[in-house]
Amino acid sequence: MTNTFTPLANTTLAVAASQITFGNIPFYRRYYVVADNLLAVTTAVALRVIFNNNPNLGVTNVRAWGTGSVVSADVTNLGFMETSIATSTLASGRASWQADIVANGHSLGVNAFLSRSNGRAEFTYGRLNDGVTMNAITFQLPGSNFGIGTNFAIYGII
Amino acid sequence: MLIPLGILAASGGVPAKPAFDLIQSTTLSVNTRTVAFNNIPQTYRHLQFVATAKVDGGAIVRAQLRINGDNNPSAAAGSLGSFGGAPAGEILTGFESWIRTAQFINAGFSGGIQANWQGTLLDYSLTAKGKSFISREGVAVPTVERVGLGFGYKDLSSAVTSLEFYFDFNSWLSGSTFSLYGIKG
Repeated sequence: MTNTFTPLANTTLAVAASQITFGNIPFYRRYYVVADNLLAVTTAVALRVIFNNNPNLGVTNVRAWGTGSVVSADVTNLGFMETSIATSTLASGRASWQADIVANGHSLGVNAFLSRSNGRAEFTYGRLNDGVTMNAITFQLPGSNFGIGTNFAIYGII
Repeated sequence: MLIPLGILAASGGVPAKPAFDLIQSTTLSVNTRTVAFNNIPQTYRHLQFVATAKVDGGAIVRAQLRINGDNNPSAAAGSLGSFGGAPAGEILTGFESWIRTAQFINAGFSGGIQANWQGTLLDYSLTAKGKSFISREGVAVPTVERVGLGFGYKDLSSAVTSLEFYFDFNSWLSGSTFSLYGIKG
């Protein structure tokens, strides 16, 4: 057996930032990304995820979410992924989010993605086009900035 | 302000005691109906599996998880999923021999569409209780998208020593990868 859960980077914002990028990501079969204390400086409704510094990369995204009494879902085919997060939780810094990224590029050339957030419960699956291997991942809050205390961490898993 | 973070080496500390181990991983070289992990060590608290896989056929098919080769109808399972429209759920109880959770989809793309399925089997080595199972799954290319959650319970009082990922009529395609991890706790 092999211990395979390796912390790659961890950052907690000391100043507000428009985006956070983990670059030069070494190849692992899987990645685990977790964001905690997600705080928006101004109103925001989504966490955007951009791969390889390219917001035009082909990504198919399907997501479903519930607000307690209402469930919804949608599909997007944009250059990036987006996970909707309840505005109230982002405003108070109470949102969290985590994703498993499967980078099976050695044979199938695909990155897969699953996430969930609190405040509004959501599960998301996204997929990059075949042949794309992730080497950087960027997080944004469209229309807003990440506030002080927002934390992102990434782990590599064999 | 932008915060770029280049990764040059592992940072953030190394756990004093390994708590997450890769037990076994396999990438298929031929198509097969069943992928099995046998002789699972009993030195962990939980098991986690990850599948990045393709399946043949042209319709929605449901993957199944069989524990210890047991075909007795003693499992209950359910799922909640969406194809982009309103999420829908299903419950399977009373007659299921295997925990059924994931749906892999093939819509005629050459070689199938890769899907991701990952789940955790809790307290797998304990003999005084049944076994609970939770999972997430997804597949997404334009016009074929699904995201889902799954859960299951197997009334089994023995330790889990083998897992099989199984189809009734379809096959896992060559290139599919299955990994099994042990989690200490």
